Amino acid sequence: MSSLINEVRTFIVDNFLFGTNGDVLSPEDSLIEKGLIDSTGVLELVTFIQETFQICVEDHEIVPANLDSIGKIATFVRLKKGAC
Amino acid sequence: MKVTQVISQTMEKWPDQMAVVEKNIRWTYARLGQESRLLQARLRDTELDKRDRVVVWLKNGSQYIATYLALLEVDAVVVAIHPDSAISDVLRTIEHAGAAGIVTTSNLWERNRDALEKSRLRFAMLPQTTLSVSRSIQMSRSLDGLAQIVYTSGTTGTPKGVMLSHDNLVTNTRSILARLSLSPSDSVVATLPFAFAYGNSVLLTHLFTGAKIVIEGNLMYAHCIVESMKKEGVTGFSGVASNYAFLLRQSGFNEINLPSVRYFTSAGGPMPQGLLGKVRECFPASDFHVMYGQTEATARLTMLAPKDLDRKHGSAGRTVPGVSIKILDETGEPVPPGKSGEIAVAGANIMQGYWLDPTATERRIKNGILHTGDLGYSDEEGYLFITGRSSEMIKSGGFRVNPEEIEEVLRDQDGVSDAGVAGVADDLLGEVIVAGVVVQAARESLEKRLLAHCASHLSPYKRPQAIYLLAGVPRSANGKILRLALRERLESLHRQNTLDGIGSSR
Repeated sequence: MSSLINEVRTFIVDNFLFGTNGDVLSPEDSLIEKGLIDSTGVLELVTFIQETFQICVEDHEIVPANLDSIGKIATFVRLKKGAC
Repeated sequence: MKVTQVISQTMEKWPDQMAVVEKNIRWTYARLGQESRLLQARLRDTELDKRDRVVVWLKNGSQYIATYLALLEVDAVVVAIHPDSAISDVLRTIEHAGAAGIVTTSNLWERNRDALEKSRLRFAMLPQTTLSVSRSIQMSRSLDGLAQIVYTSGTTGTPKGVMLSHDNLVTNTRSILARLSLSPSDSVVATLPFAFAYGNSVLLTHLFTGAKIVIEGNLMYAHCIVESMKKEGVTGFSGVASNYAFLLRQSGFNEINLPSVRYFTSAGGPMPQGLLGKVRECFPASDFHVMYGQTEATARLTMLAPKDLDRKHGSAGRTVPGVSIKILDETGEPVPPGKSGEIAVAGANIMQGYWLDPTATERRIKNGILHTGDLGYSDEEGYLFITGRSSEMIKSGGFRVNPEEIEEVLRDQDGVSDAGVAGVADDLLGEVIVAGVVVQAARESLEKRLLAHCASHLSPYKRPQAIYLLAGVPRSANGKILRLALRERLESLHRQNTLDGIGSSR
């Protein structure tokens, strides 16, 4: 789980924080509330998750409950992988 | 007539009609009136003077709407800013508007307390409390009837504040309603920021009518918007082209899923015909209104009726009631139908001018006529066709962004000797912001450094999507950036994307 979290964190820090201030982002922080993500960002995030973890994300799964924090993403990926 | 006088009539006529729905908040018009009156009392306690400017830094939502109405009712001037604005943008707006106070959330206040306390604000109104900050400078000038200042992107030194009066707002809202014919049984999902002209006009048209406004904050998630529309039986949707492109990617955005939707509007930049066709295919029984306007004209100048979409393919429509339009040649003389020129307009919706910038005002408004800076022609029947924009603004995702503002931020960074920024055509956003920089010596991780620098100094919608290395920024003999040449250069770099780009990550 922790390596999964790290992988997601690295992607978010590199792509939405441009490599800076990664320390201030906790696994629970909302990406929307922190102003880190926009609609293009969500699509990039989904592409990253699909390619990196080899899972298929359905339209109805693209919701904040699954994707709005590092922790939520990790849980979502873990559940999806478990379901395969 | 004041905006709030009209809305008070709605409140009296339709007290039990739903006004605002936001998650578990459900306010009727009567309740919205009460909430607004509570805020009015708190505002009067701050000893607010007539026409004092008050910055509203709130997300789209019930609090925003109650605050907006309260400020207008106590004769203050609303200066709303985009909720995601960078603190540097917020401070610049406070300073330029000479704002007396700010209305914001406890969260935003706490996060930016140090910076805000150093500003000249007199008070900060948070949900539970009002804090006094310091004494602001009083201004004594005649601002009769001024309701709102809408800031659009200027350069960092000279922000552009469009002054709109109560008259401007009431007239333009009524003109739009004459064409849209909304009723209290209508409802809209509000995804456009209320802080800017288009979102503001969606808000007012619905409040004037007694219709329902459904707030949906999760704009990044198409599924949430569709679900919210379904749940509330929303009848209308207003968006810029990129909103439609985004929603169409979502398979659930069609008539079967959303049978209640009866109308759409688009504005804030051209609506590509392909995209319009797809929306109409998904919603064959719904009306689509293509609209054109400017913040400087309150919001709306022309609208194309749904019945004319095929007959007047590609047109921005005819003027809304009370607006007259002329197409002018370079000498300022009107040209005959079919001939292209600058679009110039007159009407009671034309702004009062730019806040504290008479020179810029005189450049845009001559003898009561607003020179839009847009190019187009009118056909024999008076339908307007837009052919281009003569102004240098970038239109990205419905936001109007001044390239000079971003250039200033980039040039500010160590190692950058020059910078040029342009809008490059993009399927989703209309245009994306692309920057070119000239550097003294190529350095490792310069791309990230520059993007991070932009992220901390610019609001999200103003940040470049890509930054490329240039040998030089094309300039004229007197040093002015040659915008067309720059855009062509950046466009070709952005297409190749990988070649000599030092970065294109977003």
